[in-house]
Amino acid sequence: MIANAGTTRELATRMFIRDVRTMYRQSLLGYAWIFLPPIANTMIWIYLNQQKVISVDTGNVPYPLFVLTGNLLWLAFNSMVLGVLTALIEARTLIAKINIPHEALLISAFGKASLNAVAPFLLLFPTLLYYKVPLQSGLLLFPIGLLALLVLGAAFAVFLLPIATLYTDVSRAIQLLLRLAFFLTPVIYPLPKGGLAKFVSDINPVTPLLATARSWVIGDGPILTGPFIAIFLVSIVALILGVFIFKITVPYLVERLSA
Amino acid sequence: MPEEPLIVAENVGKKFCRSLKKSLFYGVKDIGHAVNPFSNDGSKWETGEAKPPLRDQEFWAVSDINFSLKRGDCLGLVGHNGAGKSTLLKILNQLIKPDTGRITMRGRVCALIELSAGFSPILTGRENIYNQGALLGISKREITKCFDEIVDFAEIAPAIDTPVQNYSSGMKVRLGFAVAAQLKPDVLLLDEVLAVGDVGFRHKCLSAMSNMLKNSAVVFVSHSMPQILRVCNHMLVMKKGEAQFNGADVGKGVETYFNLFGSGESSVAGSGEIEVIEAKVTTATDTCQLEGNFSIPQHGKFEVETRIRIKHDLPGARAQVLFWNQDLIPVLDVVDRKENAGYYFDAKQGETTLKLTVDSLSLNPGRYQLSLIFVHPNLERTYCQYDRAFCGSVAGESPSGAGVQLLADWQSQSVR
Repeated sequence: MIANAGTTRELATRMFIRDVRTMYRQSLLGYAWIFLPPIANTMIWIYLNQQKVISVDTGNVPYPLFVLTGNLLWLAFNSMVLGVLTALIEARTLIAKINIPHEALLISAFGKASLNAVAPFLLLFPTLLYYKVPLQSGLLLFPIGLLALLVLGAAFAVFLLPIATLYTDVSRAIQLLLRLAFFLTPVIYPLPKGGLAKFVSDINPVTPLLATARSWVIGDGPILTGPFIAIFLVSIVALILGVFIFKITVPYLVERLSA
Repeated sequence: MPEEPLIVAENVGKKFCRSLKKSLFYGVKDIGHAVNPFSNDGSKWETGEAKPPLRDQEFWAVSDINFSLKRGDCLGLVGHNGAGKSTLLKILNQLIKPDTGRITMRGRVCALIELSAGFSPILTGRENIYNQGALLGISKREITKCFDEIVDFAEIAPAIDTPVQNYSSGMKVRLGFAVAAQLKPDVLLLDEVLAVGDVGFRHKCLSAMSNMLKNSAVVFVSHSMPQILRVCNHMLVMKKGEAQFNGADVGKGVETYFNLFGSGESSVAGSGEIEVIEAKVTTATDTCQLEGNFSIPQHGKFEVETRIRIKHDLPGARAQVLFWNQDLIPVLDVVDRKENAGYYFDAKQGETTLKLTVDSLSLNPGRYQLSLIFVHPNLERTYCQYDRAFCGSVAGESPSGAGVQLLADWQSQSVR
């Protein structure tokens, strides 16, 4: 793994460039498609809240800013999970025929998902300026919050990757689960104060990362330092372990995919 | 000191599963074993002392394959479809792990197997060259250096900025091969990549390959025996995953390969105005009746006697005997010396006998099928074509890739 780090890095870069170029080549709006889904998703919640169909109390924080930040952070986690989960299936013809360092597939999938996750944050800065949110030191911590969400997503997906490559059930179940988890995580509403909702939100590992990162951006809200650090560290260890397991399992997956 | 072998395969075996659901389930189990640091069944399987048991629906796709190749060696890997050749290549290419035995490789391994597998259809040829290079482990700098060479070799200069999805299949193969030709591998795995592409390009590939062949150990999968005879010095014939022949006598290997196939069925075609009643082959060592087998020494005498029934008076007929080789390519057409065409005879209603004599049958050692053919004098109609009327095996010492070995007179004179 270490010996051919050079070729792996080069291959991962080439694959990343290839995928980014292919992603929107056959489209007129092109890279605008990175920004459109979070905009649309945010608009619908703003609309529902403004029309009083739902009513979310975010205190002093303007709801549009609150929901945009939440959405962008959730999207980062979401796109990392789905991007990594399909990494092998998308490359199945390739890995069944050409012997490549398979870590490159993972690295390129991490890169692609990170791009999809980070680029939409460009939307955040004009919004912050518009609502005249004072720029504070928390904003400097915010990239760590985003990174933690990405690492958590990657670790989760890498562990499921071998089984997800064999059985399509896994990807389907995860997609369904993510759609439900969007509502069970405090993305479009603040941390629940009590009841079952509080319990569900408390056992959800995404909650501390997302809520804390959002508070850092907006400068208002709960900072859950303890759980944040614990989950971040566990995800890092899990990700490293997951990559090693992935490395061992690929030949077994190729055998079942191409037999 | 003799050079170390570049590939060593010891007791290599691989199981496959016929049922998809079971296969996936076994996959999960195998992965469980592989990531569990406390399970070590593998070691005794790796040395070939024991074999893992076959689970329900499983079979050995490859079993007990042994060989070792040095630089400059070329192993011809043949067998009918589904014999396990591609699986063995995948194991050699380290795409999948063998269930028994082990493979040792030294140096850079390169597999020319389905060269266009890595292309993204929507990207241009230019972009794909760089991608393919990265997949094969060639750095961007190296590719840039020989970029023009690659485009020249592939002869696709006008289409280089066109998306690859608009390329013909031949163009894709050209591009794939052109990139792969830049490699300097120590171990080369070849899987009939040259089957596509026109004659001109195939020639180019062959000369590029012969450069690679000299400097590497090669495993060559092919169905073309002339090609095997030309390049290989070792042969492995596989049948149902097992080695049917494994040795350095390539001629013997080719024979084993052809014996894997039944010689096929006899068949009669044509208008039916002529019917073969009886036929007999006589050679120096053997004799046989219609639809039988005969053997003949190379350059030996060969005779055919035929009795035919003619249904009604015909405006004459021509007779000829056609020899087909095992690839079902016609290699020899026996015609009449005086006519320089099929032997002409008056075809009156009733029975006629014909006799053909060949003093020296110069076919190369191997197996052949014979057809008896009777046609209209102007070739406007076939009266009777009796395919596989006989099967002959020519015995001799020096097999070569050619179909015929013609004995002729040579002279030499030293010039000072």
